[in-house]
Amino acid sequence: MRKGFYMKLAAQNLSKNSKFYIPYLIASSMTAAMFYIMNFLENNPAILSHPNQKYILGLGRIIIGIFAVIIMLYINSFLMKRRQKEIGLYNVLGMEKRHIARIFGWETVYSYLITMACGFGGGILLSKLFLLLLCKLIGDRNALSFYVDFQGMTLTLALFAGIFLFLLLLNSFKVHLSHPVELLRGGNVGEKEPKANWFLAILGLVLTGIGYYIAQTVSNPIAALKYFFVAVILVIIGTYFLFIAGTVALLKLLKKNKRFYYKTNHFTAVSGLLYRMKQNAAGLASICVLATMVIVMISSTVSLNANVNDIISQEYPHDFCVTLQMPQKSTMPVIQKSLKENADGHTIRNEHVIRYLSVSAASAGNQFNMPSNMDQFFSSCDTSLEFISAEDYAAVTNRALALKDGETAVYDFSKPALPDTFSIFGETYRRAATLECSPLGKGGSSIMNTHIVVVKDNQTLDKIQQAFQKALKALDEPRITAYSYSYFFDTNGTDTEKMAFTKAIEKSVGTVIQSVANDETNSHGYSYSVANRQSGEKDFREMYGGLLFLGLFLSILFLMATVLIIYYKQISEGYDDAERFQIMQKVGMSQTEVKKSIHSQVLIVFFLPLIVAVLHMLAAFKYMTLLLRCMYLTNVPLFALCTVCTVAVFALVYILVYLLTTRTYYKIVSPQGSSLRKQ
Amino acid sequence: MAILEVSNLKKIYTTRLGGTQVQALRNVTFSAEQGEYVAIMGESGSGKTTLLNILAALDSPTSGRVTVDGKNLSDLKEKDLSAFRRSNLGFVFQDFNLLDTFNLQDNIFLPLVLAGKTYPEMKEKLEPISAELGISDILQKYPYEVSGGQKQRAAVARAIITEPKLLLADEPTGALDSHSADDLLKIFDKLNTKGQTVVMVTHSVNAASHARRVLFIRDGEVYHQIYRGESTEEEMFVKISDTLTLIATGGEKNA
Repeated sequence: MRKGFYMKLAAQNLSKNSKFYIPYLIASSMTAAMFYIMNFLENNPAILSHPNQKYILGLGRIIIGIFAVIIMLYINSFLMKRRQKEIGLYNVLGMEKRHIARIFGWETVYSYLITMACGFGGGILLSKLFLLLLCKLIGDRNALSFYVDFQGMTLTLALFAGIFLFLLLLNSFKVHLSHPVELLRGGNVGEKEPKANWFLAILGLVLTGIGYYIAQTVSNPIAALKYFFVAVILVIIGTYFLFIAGTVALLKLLKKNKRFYYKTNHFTAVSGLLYRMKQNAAGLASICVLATMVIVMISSTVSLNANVNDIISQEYPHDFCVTLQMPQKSTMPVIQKSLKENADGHTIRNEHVIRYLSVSAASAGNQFNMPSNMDQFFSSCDTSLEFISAEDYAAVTNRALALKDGETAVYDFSKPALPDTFSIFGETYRRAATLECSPLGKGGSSIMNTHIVVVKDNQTLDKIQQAFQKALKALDEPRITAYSYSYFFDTNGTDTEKMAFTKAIEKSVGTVIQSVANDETNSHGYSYSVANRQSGEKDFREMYGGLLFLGLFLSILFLMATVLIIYYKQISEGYDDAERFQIMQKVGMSQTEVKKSIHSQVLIVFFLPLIVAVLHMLAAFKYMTLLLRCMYLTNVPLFALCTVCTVAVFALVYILVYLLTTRTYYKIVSPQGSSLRKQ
Repeated sequence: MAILEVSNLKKIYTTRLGGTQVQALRNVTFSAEQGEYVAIMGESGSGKTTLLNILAALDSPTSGRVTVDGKNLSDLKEKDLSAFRRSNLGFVFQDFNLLDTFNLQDNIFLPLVLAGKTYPEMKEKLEPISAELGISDILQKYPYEVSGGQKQRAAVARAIITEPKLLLADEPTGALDSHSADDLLKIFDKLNTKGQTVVMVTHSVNAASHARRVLFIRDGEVYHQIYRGESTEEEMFVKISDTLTLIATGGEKNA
């Protein structure tokens, strides 16, 4: 055959099937663009200074990569189904299968080139915009330069070359296995009515049920983190089973009920839905899962960001906090003095010095004691208790705790939580309240179970300290019994001035500690830390901003996938329905009746995933509040508000997509078009 | 009494982008009496299917009049039209037009369900019909599970279960093998002897030879008609063949 014939034919095919190929190419280009942008951001020098971001973006890149493969596979299977007839015709007209493969080859080359051209065009143009957005969200105000990331480009080229090559091989292989007559008949082979798979339906119900049960019964953030993926995967699998088998089983039940089934409204709807479900169940389940993910991601990341200020004031009640671990009693005043001398124009105000006692102990049930000998000290001490008096707690947090004798308020850094009654060195205490956040800043020991215990007053604190000292003395070990001190204060000035002052504080504290240490023979335990609100705030904003960015970015991708699945679903249903539409009219249904019947089916099929997604979100709500607590978000009404808004916006977008795609659908099934068609 | 009256029917299709006009029916006039069995013959493109679609009220004529049982179809509104179609007309199509989503029984029930009948009523009506058409055993099967002849018999059952005044058949034997076609035509004969009015469009001489009267249309006009009278099917077959040969070789019009 003439040279260039296949090239031309392939180009013609793409333009002839533009109704299917344009959305396909838009999708692949968008995915390529987003993949490139993720790479660009990850490699960007502006991001290099934020290691957390690099990690988050790297995660995003992997998700987009996997997603690209899935979505391309999905669309490809749809395209091939629609084009069976055409391929069969080529085959019948005398083209061998290898010729068809050659046409496929050229089509793939064109698609790849278009995808890459549009993908990079869009990706490069938008990369700057997304970089600006990311920097704004994480509060980075560095000047940004515009450039093309060749490394990211290479990776994108390679990924999509791989995907397209795989699809080409897959399609060629499928054609190779098929008969031309089968292909010619195409989609018209009578499809068997789906059988109700009760086992899968019930399994789906059970899996979703377990997922929901976990979500409802988990009562603390740590367990929530632990079971998160289990619950998510259970619900995802359950959703697929419910859509694929559950809906069919339910419709079959309805069909069995003759009085219900043989009603004008139900008759066509039930049988029509049965077929729609068979063809679209997986697609609908995917829409449902994607929709849930979008809602969860957006609502949680938005509420985290909306809550940053609250978190900061909770976690950092003061501008600065200098903590000395187990110094000489006299050291803290020396530091305070030194800081004031070196204040350099900064006014130190709202000072509070609090003391706390760090006790390491071995736990046995609800008893906390010293190990019996020193050799076992480090191997058997599993619990770290930080004691602080209610007075100091109130001073630093501005929250008063009314504790009676023997009562404590506890913050658990880790699980298992401190029991309701516990005894330490023989003295028993009751856990009267649970604190929402740590008064000593964030962080706990990763090796030992750490709890912060607020006791009634300083006398109680001293009593514990003496008991601790006694217990250590029995082991002939006089050290590590001293109090630690935290010095909280505010200063006047701008954020930049405060940041600068942090450096000065670190320096003068360092000097003091050095000189004190030189004075003494016993210098161990002189560790110190300087925390300031500004840098903490920066960390928080960076973290949450990065998560929000990733949430938004992936939501765009998921939304695109949702729209695509809906679009292709509508088209394929349209072609099937066009025929049914005609027949029903011939048998005596009026156009309006047919339209109404089909419309209601389309509506059910369309909005089922959204409804189930909202149900999932409702079930997950409590769970999400627990997870968000791990990220310092305790403001449940705020999260609820963000969720409601996200659901509303998402539903709006969804309805918009529905209206747009339904127009295409009705164009296909339009009775005007069909009644003129020759039978 | 004429159950179907067609007078001066004209249908012109205009292509979507304006311009070309195609005249499918020029001027068709005929009528069918109660209990008659009429076949309409013609080559492909002669306007047969257009005519049948207009008779079925699936399409509207450009001008002219179709009256079924005294009712002018163009006077009926779209909503009443489908109810009218449902209760007065039965259809049998070349490609069966059974819905894949229903089994045969539900396909047959479809017009009754639309008319709001209850399940026991429908079941009662179906039993004698399915027995007569020999499909009682396959009612629970789906269209893609049975042969073409069986599908067409189910379609006939669907058409007559509403006891229509007029049974319209569009090339009913077109997709069937000769054996199934003969079976189907025998069914039509039987229905007709019981008083069912049948109007069939076909270009099969065999099918047409079963009718009591055959109309020939060419280029959108009724060109000729012959009555079966007392002749046998074989004689009718010969008559029709001769007429077709005459038409094909450009013979003169006669009445």
